[in-house]
Amino acid sequence: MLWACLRFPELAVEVFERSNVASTPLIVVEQGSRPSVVAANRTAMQQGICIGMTVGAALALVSHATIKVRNPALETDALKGIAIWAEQFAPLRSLANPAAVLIEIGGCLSYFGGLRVLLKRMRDGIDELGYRAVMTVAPTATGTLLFNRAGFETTITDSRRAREALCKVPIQALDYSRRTIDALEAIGVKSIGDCRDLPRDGVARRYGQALLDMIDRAMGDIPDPQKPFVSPETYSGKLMLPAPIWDVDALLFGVKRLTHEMCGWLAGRYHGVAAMRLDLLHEDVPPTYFPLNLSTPTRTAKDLILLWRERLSQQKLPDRVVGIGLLTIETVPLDSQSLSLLKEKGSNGDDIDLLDRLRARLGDDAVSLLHTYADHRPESAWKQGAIQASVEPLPPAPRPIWFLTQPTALKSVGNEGWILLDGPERIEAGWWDGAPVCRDYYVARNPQGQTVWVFRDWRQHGQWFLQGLFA
Amino acid sequence: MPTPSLQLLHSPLLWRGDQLARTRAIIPTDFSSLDHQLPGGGWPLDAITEVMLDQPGIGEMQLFFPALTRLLKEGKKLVIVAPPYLPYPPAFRWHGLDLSQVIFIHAADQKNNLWAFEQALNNAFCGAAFIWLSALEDKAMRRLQLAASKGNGLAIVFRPASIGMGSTWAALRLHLAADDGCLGVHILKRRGGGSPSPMRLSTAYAVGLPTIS
Repeated sequence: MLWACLRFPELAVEVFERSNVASTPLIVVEQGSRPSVVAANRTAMQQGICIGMTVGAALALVSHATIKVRNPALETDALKGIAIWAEQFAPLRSLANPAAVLIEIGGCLSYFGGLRVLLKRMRDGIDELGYRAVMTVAPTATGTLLFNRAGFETTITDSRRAREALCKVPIQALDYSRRTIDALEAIGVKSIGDCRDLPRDGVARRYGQALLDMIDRAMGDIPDPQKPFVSPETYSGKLMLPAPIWDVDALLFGVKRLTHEMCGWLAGRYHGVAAMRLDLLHEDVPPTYFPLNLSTPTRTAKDLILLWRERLSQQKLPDRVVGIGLLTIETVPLDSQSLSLLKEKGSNGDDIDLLDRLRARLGDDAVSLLHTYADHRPESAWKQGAIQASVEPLPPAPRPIWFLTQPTALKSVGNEGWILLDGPERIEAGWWDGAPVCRDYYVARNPQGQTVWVFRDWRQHGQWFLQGLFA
Repeated sequence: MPTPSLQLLHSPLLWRGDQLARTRAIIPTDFSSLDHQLPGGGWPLDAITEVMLDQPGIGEMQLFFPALTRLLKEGKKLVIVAPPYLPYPPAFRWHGLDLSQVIFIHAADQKNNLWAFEQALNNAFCGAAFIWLSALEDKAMRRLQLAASKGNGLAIVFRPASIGMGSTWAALRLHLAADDGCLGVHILKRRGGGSPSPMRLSTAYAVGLPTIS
């Protein structure tokens, strides 16, 4: 086995910072009697803010900094989001303390083309999600976590070398009772290697068997099972913005983050999204929902982001946005496509179905597919929506291209200039559903030279009506 | 059976300096008298065709159906933007078009209609796009002409003849009028110059009986 550990040392600030498009100064404070800065983004750090400062001192330095209270629930959600996203790499993932995700990558190395390629993909992906990770690789889960916590950014695949390196890891990296670790340090045990040199029974008696077990698990001497993380059956991601915004570009920045996360989840399940929904949370008014249906399911983040761009650029928002949610409504199995060498579809933006692109911007009402319906009444012989192939029998005579849903009454048919070209075609139907018709249809040419489809309505004393134009 | 490299010679993507006319992307109209007058012998697939129309319902769509049928058989899509009336689905099937390949657009304003039309022209899977417009800025027309020059398919702009016959960016401009039961076609502008005298095409119902099969 080979475990990768992704630890997020700045998660406390990154949960807010990842949707901060302009990278304005942002500080995260811990609540308490004397609130102090526990994390700050790069911009704030560059302006002199340090971890541990009081809020007053920080604001004296950077008066326009956004202050956020540390939100552990949000951090846990973010970590879960990363674990969901990582499903595209490996089925076995586990959450670890503090702010780390363990991924068993031994089984998928050859699929991704080796360790270096895989790690690069992970790093790029993490960057797209808006996080920064410290990455380590070791043959055991506990071992890789220890390296990571100790700050050894190593990738060791060989178990003998891993054991040697682990001996050098400071004892402080162990996730164990603070008192015990301090006591060990006080007697000169600085590293894991030092601890292993002590007599085992004595260590077990004085400091507990659990300490030895932890070291043995890291060394690979005893089994090292991890609690697997189980992805939800539908994706649902949420993102809080550092400050309320109107700007669509800033919104899209956040949407991008969530879309990448969703696409990782989709790729892990070999699914494509067919319907999804974007929720924009506002300060005072109820959320705005944007459902988006795709005629061609996909899991290509780039295409989905383009669709959201079209969709959002056309919208008037009722209020400023404080949070973004993205969830899948329907997913369908989709063959692997992202790794294919040659693109089957055309280039330059044709990867998105034309229909989806049009719908995203114009809305579902403005874009329609029509199909025929088996009914003799002309006004009922069609319906909205797409079906694969119409199998209804064709009408016995040609139909006009342009159709008037509301027939207009004609007075002058039969006068000078009118020529009846074809007909009559008697249509008498609909007595079963309360909309009966009894009409004689003719193809005629009117004095203006248009070829028209007219009928005499025998339910209205033979009145002539215009139904359509043969274009 | 032509080899792939021979097929390539006929591809509209291949341009050979000495054979400008032959490599032009066209699709025959199936009206031989019209084909004879159009540069390359058919509707251009890499340029806007502007159709000035006296009134709808004189056979203006009939003019394009033979070409459309062929394009849609290749699996391409047809986009119809802002038509003057409801396009009647049974009629499309009567003309042999598969409705699942036809997208109808009716956006709220002309800006979005133009955007949709341009998207269609830019899309390699779209074989033909139709739009009905009245007023149109010169700049917008030029933009459409640029999109059409990618050569993805038929690009037809219908405009009312009443707006006048100013200059145009379109490569081909026709005027259609009802002419005693036939369709009068007058080529106002074409690549290569010259303006032939108007011709009469007999579309369906020209002789009083359905001739569409």
